[in-house]
Amino acid sequence: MNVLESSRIAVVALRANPGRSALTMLGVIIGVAAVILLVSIGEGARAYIEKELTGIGTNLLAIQPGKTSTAGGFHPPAAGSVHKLTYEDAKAIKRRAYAVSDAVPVVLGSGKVKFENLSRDTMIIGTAPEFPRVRNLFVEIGDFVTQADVDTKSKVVVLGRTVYRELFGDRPALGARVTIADAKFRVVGIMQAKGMTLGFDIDDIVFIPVTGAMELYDTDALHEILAAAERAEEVDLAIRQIKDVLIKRHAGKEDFTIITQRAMMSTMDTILTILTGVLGGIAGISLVVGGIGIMNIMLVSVKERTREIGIRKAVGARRIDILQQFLFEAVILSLIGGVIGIIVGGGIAYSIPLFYSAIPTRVSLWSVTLAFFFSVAVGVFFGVEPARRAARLDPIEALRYE
Amino acid sequence: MAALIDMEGVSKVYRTGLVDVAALAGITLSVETGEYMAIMGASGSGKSTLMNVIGFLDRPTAGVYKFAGREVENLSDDDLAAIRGRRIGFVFQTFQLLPRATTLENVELPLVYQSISGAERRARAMDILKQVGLADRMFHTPMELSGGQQQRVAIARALVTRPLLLLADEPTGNLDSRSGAEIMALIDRLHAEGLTILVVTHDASVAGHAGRRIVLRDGQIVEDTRERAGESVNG
Ligand SMILES: Nc1ncnc2c1ncn2[C@@H]1O[C@H](COP(=O)(O)OP(=O)(O)O)[C@@H](O)[C@H]1O
Ligand SMILES: [Mg+2]
Repeated sequence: MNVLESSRIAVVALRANPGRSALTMLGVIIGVAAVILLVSIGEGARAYIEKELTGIGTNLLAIQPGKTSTAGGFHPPAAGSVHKLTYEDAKAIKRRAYAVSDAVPVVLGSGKVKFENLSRDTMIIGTAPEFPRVRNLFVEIGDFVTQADVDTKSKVVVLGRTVYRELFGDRPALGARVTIADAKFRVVGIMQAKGMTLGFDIDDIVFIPVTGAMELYDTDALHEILAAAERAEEVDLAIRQIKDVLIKRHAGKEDFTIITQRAMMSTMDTILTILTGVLGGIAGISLVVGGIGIMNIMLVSVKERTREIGIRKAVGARRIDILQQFLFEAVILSLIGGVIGIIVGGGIAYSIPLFYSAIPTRVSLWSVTLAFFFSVAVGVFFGVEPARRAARLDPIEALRYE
Repeated sequence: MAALIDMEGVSKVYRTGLVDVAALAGITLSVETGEYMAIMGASGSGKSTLMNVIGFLDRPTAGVYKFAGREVENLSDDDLAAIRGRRIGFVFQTFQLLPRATTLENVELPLVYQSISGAERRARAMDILKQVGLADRMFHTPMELSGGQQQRVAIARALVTRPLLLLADEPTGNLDSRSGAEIMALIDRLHAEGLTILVVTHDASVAGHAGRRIVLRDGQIVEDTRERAGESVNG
């Protein structure tokens, strides 16, 4: 008997019990939809973070004081006197490592920025003129901190969008004087809005000259040096050159860590791939439960239709014919359930970001393909035992069955 | 020419717990093509078991059974299914129709397992249904038919494969006498057209239609009568 004939018989049998077939399918639908949904959330998170990391600036390197063993670690030990990086280090890198286009000093701090009776606690970054270029940021009004500002420790400040809006509303701010840690700073620029990056509001920042920041916090240690390679292919070369320069300056010790964009990305990628796999696996369990539902119904169905099986055998059906018939029933249930599950899961995954923009999702072809084949496999796996029982039935006993 | 059915010491023993039940106890029987034979005997004498063995629904536990000259013992279950489907037509006391399928679908069923195209299946089934007088009941389900009509559907299903042998196990057992008479008339006609027929019955009047009569007792043939020859062979 051919495949078409078996499918036809199976479909007729399934349609004889529409309610039962639909409920059995529901188990598979929920399982497949859950797989698609959870995997698409995991995939979405990965795509989102990849985009964000690329958005921070390409060819980016961060040099941080202290030696950490893991690439892409986010928390190097705090700068002690031996391990510190200085503005001089940054200048030396810029001057001597020719594969490096920029080496920008960064001093990080936080504090209150006040204007008239308003104030805001914000992040204060002491840096140099190249910072916006390296981080893909743009000044909207006025100018960024200039080299002259750095050289003369000018009391100038560039406001991030959020800080500007909080302190000035819509009023003009250029030339106004804000207070940071009891010192007056003149506003020389306002940054373009950038939005959240990895949950961090990059607009809730003010920038001052690095020299001023070091004075403010009474330190000559930098939090980090941000460097950019001339070209993406030269990142490795840039790292070698930076090491050469810094080791020479640090009495032959490699007491710093260079984190590459790529290392950060691959670390995040690994974490999120595992996360996606775990989510998909958990959802896969519900698909297995759906498969058990199919097996249960098929066993009941074989029992109920014992006499039908006897009749079919009496008129010449071979074992394989009966096996095929019942196996196809199970597979058709799981296949239709799988397709509906993909549509439902994909539909939910697709519409989530429309309502909650904080949850990015991505329905990938591989997850759809995998869910489809997995659901068919579930049908075969859980359908084969009931079908074998049907095929093994003795025709005489089956014909006598009430 | 070799006999269509040739049995030599065929036994069928059922093992039920501690006791073995010999449903057939050494049957030796030969049936020629074109014969019309009634099988009689008390309830439990082994009539159905004999029919099932002859029709390849069951295997003997001992003895030799040759069908159309071919030894059956070494055939696989699937080979037996194929012979059953192509060479044998079964008619049961309880009709054994698929309850949800239409008359036409029930009659087509054996052809489904012979890889015959849908169109040919349909044409052959319709043709047979006309012959048994059910041309106007093709799209009814068994529930919508009388017992006599259901048995005619079953006969049509048995004939649609153009079998060598028709086996009918108490075909009139569940029918009123008028429907029973109609079914017997139909079976007589099939014999007249050349089909080999074995009928199990309790009913002497039914047995009267057949040219040969065997009687079973405790799984053995105790009487074998040929009407025309007028001879009696005791088992
Ligand atoms: N599956 C079985 N298991 C055990 N004993 C059986 C089975 N089928 C038939 N028998 C026994 O075999 C004997 C013959 O049965 P059967 O051929 O059905 O008789 P009949 O059709 O003449 O009434 C009976 O004694 C019956 O109880
Ligand atoms: Mg019987």
